[in-house]
Amino acid sequence: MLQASLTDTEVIARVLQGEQTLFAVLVEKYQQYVFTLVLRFTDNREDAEEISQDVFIKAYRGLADFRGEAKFSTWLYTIVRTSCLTFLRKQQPNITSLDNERTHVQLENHESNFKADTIETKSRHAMVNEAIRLLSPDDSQIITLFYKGEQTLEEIGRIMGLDPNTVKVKLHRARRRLKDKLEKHYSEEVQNLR
Amino acid sequence: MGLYRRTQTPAETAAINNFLATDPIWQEHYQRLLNLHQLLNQSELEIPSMRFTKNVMEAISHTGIAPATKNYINKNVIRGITAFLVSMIAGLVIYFGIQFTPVASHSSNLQVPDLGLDKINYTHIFNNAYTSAFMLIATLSGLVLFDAWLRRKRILNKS
Repeated sequence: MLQASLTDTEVIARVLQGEQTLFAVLVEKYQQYVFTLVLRFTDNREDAEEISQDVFIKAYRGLADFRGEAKFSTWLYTIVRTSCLTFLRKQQPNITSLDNERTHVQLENHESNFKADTIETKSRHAMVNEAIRLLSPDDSQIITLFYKGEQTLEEIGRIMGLDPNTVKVKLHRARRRLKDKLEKHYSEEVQNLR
Repeated sequence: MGLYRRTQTPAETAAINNFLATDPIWQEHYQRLLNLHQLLNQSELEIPSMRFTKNVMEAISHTGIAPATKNYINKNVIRGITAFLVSMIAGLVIYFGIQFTPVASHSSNLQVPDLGLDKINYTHIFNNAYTSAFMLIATLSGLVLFDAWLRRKRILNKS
């Protein structure tokens, strides 16, 4: 109960003073956000789990560098992004940009795996997650950070190394592309939303 | 109708409010946007394995927190390197400035000035005792920094 009432800053201060076990509070609190974000970069859950664990280990080792200028989650998501980009670079050394057409083609091919009968049985939540996964890593990351990661445009800008206005435009485009994906692949469900 | 207020100025907000109150196309688009927002906000997060926290805690139990970067970067070292580089650049600029002999042009004012680069004795520069001393200091400084970096890495690996 006491641990649940502690703020992130208080937990970090105590971990830095030597209470290592308290770091579990932060892991428990952010593991789903981190895992979801990492899954936006890789479809493989085992890889995602490994990267996510690595993110928390890096965060722990670099905890003394967290100056509290931004939220802990913003700082943590910056580590998520760099770790995922490093992972992708190791996996596919020829990829030059996350907006690369090839990435989109791969993702478009991935779409064909969905069958109409299984789509009908999917819950609405699963449908949204599937649709987000069809977006490029940048688009899905920006949507996840904004809607699920509780990050402002400024904070997303800090994580992605972009100007907040650029983030705003990218978010708008990502939303539009998500809407297109939903209408293309889940047209019946989307009709119900109107 | 508060979705768009996060980043707009009051004037823009008022203009959008006006459109939303009067224009049915705007109203329809805004309703769709609200639906999408609702859908996204309701979407669930992915859940990692049950052992996730345990795995992380086991992994960090064998490691320590690295000292803050600002603590082990000595500002005097950075200042020293900066001073060294600035003095090198300033020295070169002054040297070339002394060597510079403008040639008067007879045909056109737009002619490229002769900097006299072909007249500079480069062997004199590179065989100079001062240059050798600078190179020696720079090499030694590099070795000292490399040694410090290796020591720090070894300490971090041990912890």
